Amino acid sequence: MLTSTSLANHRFKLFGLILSSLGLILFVVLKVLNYSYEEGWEDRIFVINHFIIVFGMVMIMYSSETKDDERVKLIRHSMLKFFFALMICGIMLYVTLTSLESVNGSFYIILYIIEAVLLGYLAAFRLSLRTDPSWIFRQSPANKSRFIVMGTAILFLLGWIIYVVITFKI
Amino acid sequence: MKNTIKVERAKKGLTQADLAEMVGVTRLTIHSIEAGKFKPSVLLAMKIATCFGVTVETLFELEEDD
Repeated sequence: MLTSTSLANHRFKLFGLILSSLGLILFVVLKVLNYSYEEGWEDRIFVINHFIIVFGMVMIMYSSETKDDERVKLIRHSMLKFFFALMICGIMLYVTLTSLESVNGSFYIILYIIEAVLLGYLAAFRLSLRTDPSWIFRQSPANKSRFIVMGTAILFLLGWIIYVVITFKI
Repeated sequence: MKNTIKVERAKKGLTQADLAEMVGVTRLTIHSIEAGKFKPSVLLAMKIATCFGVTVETLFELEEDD
């Protein structure tokens, strides 16, 4: 479990929020204005922009609460486990889909998946602090969730191996 | 796990916020413990019991499914 010492001070949340907001505002403004000044500028600016947004959200994610007690730590730990698994599954699913000829791979989609999961984590964590979802406080949820995550990963792997075997006739 | 925190709190005239301040947790944590949703650590249980001047066994009681 993450201890308070392994987290940044709660004041970093504000910096993270400012950073993410600035990145998001810049992203929207550039998109709306359809601004361009040289060939290929979009990729450079937008990738940096996405990194600013992700960095800001990670900063919020790893900042402690004003009063970081054991209940908050337990909620954070459970939420991080769930959303980390969700992010891996999302990226794996997308990478698997891009191996199909009809789907083109894009680095931006992976960034969007990461941003969506981080945003989902931040919203779910805030909500859980208020609502106390019972699945977090159950006595033995670890074994069940571990089984679900492992099962999903093995299913993905099996599906991918079958696809590769069929497609490339290995 | 059943507990009598609410009763003990009423006896001492303490609010959830007062107790939370005394043991160094958030008010919502006290609320969750009282509602039986969150099971506190031994350390936190002992801190709460000390605040009321009772033993942990008096404050918390195991149930069949625990």
